[in-house]
Amino acid sequence: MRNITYMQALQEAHAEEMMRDENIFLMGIELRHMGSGVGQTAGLYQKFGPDRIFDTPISESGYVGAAVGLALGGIRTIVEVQFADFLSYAFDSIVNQAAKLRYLSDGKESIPLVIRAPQGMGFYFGAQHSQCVESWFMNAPGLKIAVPSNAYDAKGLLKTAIRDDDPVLFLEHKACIFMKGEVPEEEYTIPFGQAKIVRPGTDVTIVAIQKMVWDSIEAAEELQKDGISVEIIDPRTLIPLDKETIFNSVKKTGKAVIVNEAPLRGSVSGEISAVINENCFEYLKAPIKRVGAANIPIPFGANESYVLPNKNDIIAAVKSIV
Amino acid sequence: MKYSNEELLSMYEKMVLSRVYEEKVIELLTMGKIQGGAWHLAIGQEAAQVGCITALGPNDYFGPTHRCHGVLATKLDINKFTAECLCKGTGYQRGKAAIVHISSMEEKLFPANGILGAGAPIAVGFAVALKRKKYDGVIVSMIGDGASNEGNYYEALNLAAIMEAPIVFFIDNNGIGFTNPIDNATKVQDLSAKGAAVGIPGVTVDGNDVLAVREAVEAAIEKARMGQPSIVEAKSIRFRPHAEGLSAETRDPKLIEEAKKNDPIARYEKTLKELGVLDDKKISEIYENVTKLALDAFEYGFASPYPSKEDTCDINLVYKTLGGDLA
Repeated sequence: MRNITYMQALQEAHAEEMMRDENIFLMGIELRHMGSGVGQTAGLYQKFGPDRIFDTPISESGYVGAAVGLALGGIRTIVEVQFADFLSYAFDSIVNQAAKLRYLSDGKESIPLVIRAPQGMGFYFGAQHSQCVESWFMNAPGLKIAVPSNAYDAKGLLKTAIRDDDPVLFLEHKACIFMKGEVPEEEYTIPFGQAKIVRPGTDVTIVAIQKMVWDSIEAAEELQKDGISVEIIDPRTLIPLDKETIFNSVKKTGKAVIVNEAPLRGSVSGEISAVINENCFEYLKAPIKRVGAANIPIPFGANESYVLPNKNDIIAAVKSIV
Repeated sequence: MKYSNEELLSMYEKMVLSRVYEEKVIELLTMGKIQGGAWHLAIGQEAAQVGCITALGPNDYFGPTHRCHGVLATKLDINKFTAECLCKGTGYQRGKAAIVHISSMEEKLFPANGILGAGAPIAVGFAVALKRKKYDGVIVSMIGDGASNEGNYYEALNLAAIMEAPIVFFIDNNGIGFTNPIDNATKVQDLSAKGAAVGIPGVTVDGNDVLAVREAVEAAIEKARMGQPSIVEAKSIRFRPHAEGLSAETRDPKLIEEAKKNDPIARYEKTLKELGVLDDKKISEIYENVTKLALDAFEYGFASPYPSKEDTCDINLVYKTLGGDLA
C-alpha cells in the first residue's frame, strides 16, 4: 500500500468530498495562497476556485459564526481556524451556537459543519500556538470531537466528519502532520465512536490520543524489554467515545494509564479515568494513572519540553502501577 | 401614499396588538400568574419593530432580538408563541427556547439569540447560504443598540460587506442597554455610521415614525437583494425597565414622561385619522379584537401542559447523525 503524509491525507479527504458533493463550501484564513497554515488544503483553490473556497479576514469569532449560519442555511461547510489556540476567539460560535442550535430548534434544524484546527506541540511556537484544546470543548453537548493520530485515520475521519449532519470539531495535530502512513487509494470512511487497538498487550492499558499515541508506542517497546506487555488504545473520537473497547481492555489488564498532551488539571484524561472507575472498578488492580502536561503555560522554543509530557513520563506512570 | 389603506390599518393593528400583548404581560406578572425574568418588553418601540417586519417580502427572513415579544405575537401563531414563552409543550420548540432562542424557519423567523451580538455573523452566513442556493430573499437581522457594541457585530458587518451578503442590519435603538444609557456606551451619534468603518452604507430614521421605518427598511432590502448589505437604525425610547420583574427603572422619570408624549401608536393614530383611514369606532374595535387575541393566547398557554422529560431529553434533538455513545 502507498504511504502518504497526514497532511496529504487531509488534502485528499477535502478534494474527494468536494468533488463528490458540490454543496460543500470551505472557508478560513490563508486558503488561497497558502493552502492553509501548514498546507492541509494545498491545491484545492486551484481545483475548486473562489466559488467553493473563501479566504476569510482575520476574525475567528465572526467567520466561524458565519460558517454556522451557512450550515444552518443548508450549505455543508468546512471552516478552518489556523491554530487551535485561536478557537478561544470562536468559542461562542462553536459552543453556544453550533452545538446548541439544533436542540434549540427542537430538532427541526441541523448544522452540517466541520471546524478544523491544528493543535499541539511540534512547531515550538509557545503558549498561544501549541496547546491541545480538546478538553475546552468536552463539556459542550451537541458537539462531536475527532482527534486523529495518523494519516489513515485523518482521511477516514475527516470524510465522516464532512458527511455528518452535526457540528464536528476536527482537531489535527501539528506533530503528526508530516508523518507518513499507509493510506489506500480506494474510498473509505471511519465511523465515529470506534476506537483502535493500536497495539495488543496484557499487563496494562494505555489510552492515548494524537502525538501521545506515538510516544506511547515508543514507551511500550521499551517496557516490553522489561517484560511489561502494554495494550494501546486510540479512541480517535472523544465525542462519541468508544467506552466499550476501553472497558474491555481494562477488564483484561486490570490497569490503566490515560495519556494526552493537555495540562492535567481538567483534562479529558480525567473524564476517561472517571468512566473507567464507574464501570470497571471491580476489575482494577491498581489506581488509574494519568499523564499530561504540567499546569503551566507552554514556554517558547525547545523549552516546551519542560512542560509537555513524553515517552519517559509514560514509562514512569506504567512502572508505578505494575 | 405608498401603501394601501388596508396595509396602513394592518400596521396599526400590529402595533396595537404588540402594545396590548405586552401590557397583558405586565398585568399577569403583577397578578403573579407568570414569572419574571425573560420578559424584555418593547413598549414604546412598536413603530420601529412593526415598521421593520412589515417591510419584509414573503420570502424574506427576520432575525429577532430577545426584545420582540409583542412584534412576534403579530408575526407568529400567537398561541404557539405564547405557549413557548411559558415553556409549554405546545410551544414552537416545546419549551426549550422561550423567546430567547425562538425560531420558526417555515415562517421565515431566524433563531433569536441569547448571546447578544452572536446572531449577527450567523445571520451573515445564512444570507450567504440564501445567495448560494439562488434563493430570492434576504434576511433582516435585528440588534439592539447595546449589543451593537459587541465585537461579533463589527466582524459581521465586515464579513457581510466582503461576502456581498443579502442582509439588512436593523438597529432597534431604544437608547439604553439594560441600565446603561447609550451615551455611556458609545461616542458615535448615529449607530448607522458604524457601517462606514467597513464600507457599507447606513441610515438613521425616527423610530417613532412607523412609515419612515418601513420605507427605510424596504429600500435597504432592495439593496440587499443585489448583494449590498446596509444598516438601518431606528431610534425610539423604551417606556419600561430592561426586563419585567428583573430590573428596576433607573432613568429620570421625566425622560420617560417626555417619551410618552411622542408615543408611536398615538402618533400613527393621528396620521391615520388625518388620512381618513381610522376613526374612534375602528380604534375601539381593534383594541377589542387584539385584547381578545392576547387573552386567548395566554389562556391557551396556561391550559397547555409542560413537555415531558422524555421529550425534552431526547438525544435525537441534540444530534441528527447518531452513532456511538452520544448521550
